[in-house]
Amino acid sequence: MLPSLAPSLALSLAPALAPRRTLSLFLGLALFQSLAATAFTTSNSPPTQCGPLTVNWGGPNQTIAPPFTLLVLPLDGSPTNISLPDSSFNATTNTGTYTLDKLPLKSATQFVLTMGDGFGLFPSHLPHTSQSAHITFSSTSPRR
Amino acid sequence: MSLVQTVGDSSDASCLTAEVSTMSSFFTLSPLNPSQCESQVLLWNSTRYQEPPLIRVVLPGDRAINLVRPSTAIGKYARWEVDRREGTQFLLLVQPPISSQNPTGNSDARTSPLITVTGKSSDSCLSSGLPSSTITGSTSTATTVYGPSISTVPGPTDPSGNVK
Repeated sequence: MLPSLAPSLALSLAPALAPRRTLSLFLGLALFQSLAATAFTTSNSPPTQCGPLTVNWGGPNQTIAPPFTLLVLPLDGSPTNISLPDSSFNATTNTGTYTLDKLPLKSATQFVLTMGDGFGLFPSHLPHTSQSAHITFSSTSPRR
Repeated sequence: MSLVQTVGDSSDASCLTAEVSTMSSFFTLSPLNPSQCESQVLLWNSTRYQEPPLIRVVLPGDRAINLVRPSTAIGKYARWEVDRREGTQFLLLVQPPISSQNPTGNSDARTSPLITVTGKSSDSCLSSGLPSSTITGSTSTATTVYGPSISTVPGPTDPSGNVK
């Protein structure tokens, strides 16, 4: 996976003499610009309390790299950071899919989902500014 | 980043854990709903966060922006200019710095309620298409960063007097 990042990284790292902050800015802008036009969709049916949740992400020409994490952010609550197995990502197609068996939220809770990757733009498995544009979430009926 | 969603009903409660403590035991916000281009102050619980926490502005349906974190443990609050248009909704995510996080969980992470930018004090902070702000800190250096600004002031007192 990482070798496929080389062209865009080489381009982004061109201003090698720039201060670190400026470099981060440059990387962030480069990623954001390359991904901003990608469609983002969510399922019409919201997930249920302790129900499964499937996440799909990635696609051609998107600069992403494992390890991936799923971040569940309930409003006014305690976030959950879930490390996704490497097997959830297909480096050939540059796409990933993962099903969380039980979404750990009570019914009626409002929440936001996002993901992070191992790109290293931020200092850990954190959501970064470009990542949001190419994730889709879907849910199925809770298992009985 | 997804839009804000609401969890549907289910009789399965097997995944639920204990209720989370109130936000004020993690941090407080002043004001809770800032106006456009106004500063918002986040005062963190310095017992819980012995180093300045990571703070993110999460824009549902859009992206998350890292507030720049001071590299040293100075002060216990952060102020950022809300360079978002009136009506914008966001939440704040506060968590310990990476070095202090528990690898098996992170009980010291907390989100705010959904915050709405209410009213506007000026348009001056919206001059460019992309957010670009200035950071100031104890070293008196200024750096342009991709994201909102944050400033951390040493010591327990707040010169603006609006943090309790």
